[in-house]
Amino acid sequence: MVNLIVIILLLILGYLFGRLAESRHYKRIALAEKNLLYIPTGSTRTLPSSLTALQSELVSGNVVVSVDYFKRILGALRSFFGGRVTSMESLLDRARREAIIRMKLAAADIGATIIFNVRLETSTISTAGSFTGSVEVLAYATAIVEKNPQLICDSELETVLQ
Amino acid sequence: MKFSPKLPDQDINVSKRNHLKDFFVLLSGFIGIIMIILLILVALADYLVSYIPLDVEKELFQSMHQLAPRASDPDSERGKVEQYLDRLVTRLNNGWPEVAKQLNGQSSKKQKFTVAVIHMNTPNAFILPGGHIGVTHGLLRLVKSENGLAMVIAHEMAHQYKRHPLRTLGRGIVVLLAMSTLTSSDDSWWIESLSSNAAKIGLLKFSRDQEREADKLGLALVTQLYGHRKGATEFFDAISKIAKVRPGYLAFLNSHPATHERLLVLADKSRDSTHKLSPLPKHVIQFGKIDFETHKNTLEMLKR
Repeated sequence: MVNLIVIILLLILGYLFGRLAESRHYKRIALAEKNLLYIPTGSTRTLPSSLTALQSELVSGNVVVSVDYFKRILGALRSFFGGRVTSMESLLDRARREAIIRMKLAAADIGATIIFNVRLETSTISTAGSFTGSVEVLAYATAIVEKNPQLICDSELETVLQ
Repeated sequence: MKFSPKLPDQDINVSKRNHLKDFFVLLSGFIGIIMIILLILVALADYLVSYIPLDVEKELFQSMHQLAPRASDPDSERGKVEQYLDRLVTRLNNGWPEVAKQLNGQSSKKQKFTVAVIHMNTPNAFILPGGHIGVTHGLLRLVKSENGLAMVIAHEMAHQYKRHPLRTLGRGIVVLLAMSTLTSSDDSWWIESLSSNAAKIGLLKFSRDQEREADKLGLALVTQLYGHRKGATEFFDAISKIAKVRPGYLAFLNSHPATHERLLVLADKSRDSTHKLSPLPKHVIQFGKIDFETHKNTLEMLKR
């Protein structure tokens, strides 16, 4: 009986704090994404011909996010019946976006003006029972410091980054 | 064409769903499945119990009876009380074929019972599989008449006539096995905790039903013996005054039905003044008065 009460308490706490943490995190993510919008980022492997790179560097951003107790149990219940594990979606979404933000911050540090060849890796780093507890997302890419950023043609950039 | 960086569409990867609603829907589904499994297993265990002969049951649980042994010296005070309880049980047992005929339309055989007094201040009685009844010292002190004592003992005997102890044990075992199978496939501790608690609460319902059945049958046995039901509520009257009562909305956590509900069933509505209570023998009253917990040497004496 006592452990049932403990579980219920953990669920309530998990739900409340999880919601709080998530909404705060999303606010930070939205702000950082807006601030870093000036660095165009894409997954293309080749550089446009008009771009002259002064320096290129591997940049990476890495984040570990854990899901709260409530969502973990909800996910496990979902895994019992099957279907979309919606409670885990925001966890991965936050992790991906935060990893890209960190990668872009690293690029901004070296004065990069454009980022190519973005890659994302996801791995589970802790499990609670048979279910995912925390995930790690690693974003890495090639950051380019252009010789003359004004020379690159906007339309070419548009096609490359699409 | 001017390149203008813009933010991606927000939340496209995150479903707008009410997680709380999802949680309760899934949880009730999960508990529902456990309850269905439980019902099937309990029905199966109940079905199998009727195939276990009484003498096999007795033999199986002989060693368990040693947990509540009889007095080693039949001439000791405790031994004499146990002999008196033996006679009371026999008298109640003699009424069983007739009671069974009235209730089920067909006569049933008498069963073999043994009784032992337990050194415990809590007024209580219990029955082990195989028909071994334990009566606590506290119960002997609490009851005022033989009728009150007979009702409690008849209640325990009724459990045995209906094979409740064996059924309860059988249920416990199948449920335990089922839960361990369910949880070994998924090693999260919370599933184990959730399912075992759901199962325990589910089993309590069966326990309460058994108690109601035993009350009814016990009352029939007492009425058969004395010709009336006066005094049958003695024990329940007393415990309703001392026992802590859970509020009604938590009644699903009780192993027994609420005392006031049981009192309603047992109450003597006739109020016939010609019905007389049978007194307890003097040596039983005397024995009940001994406070063995505060007098160590009395305890030694009782152990004999």
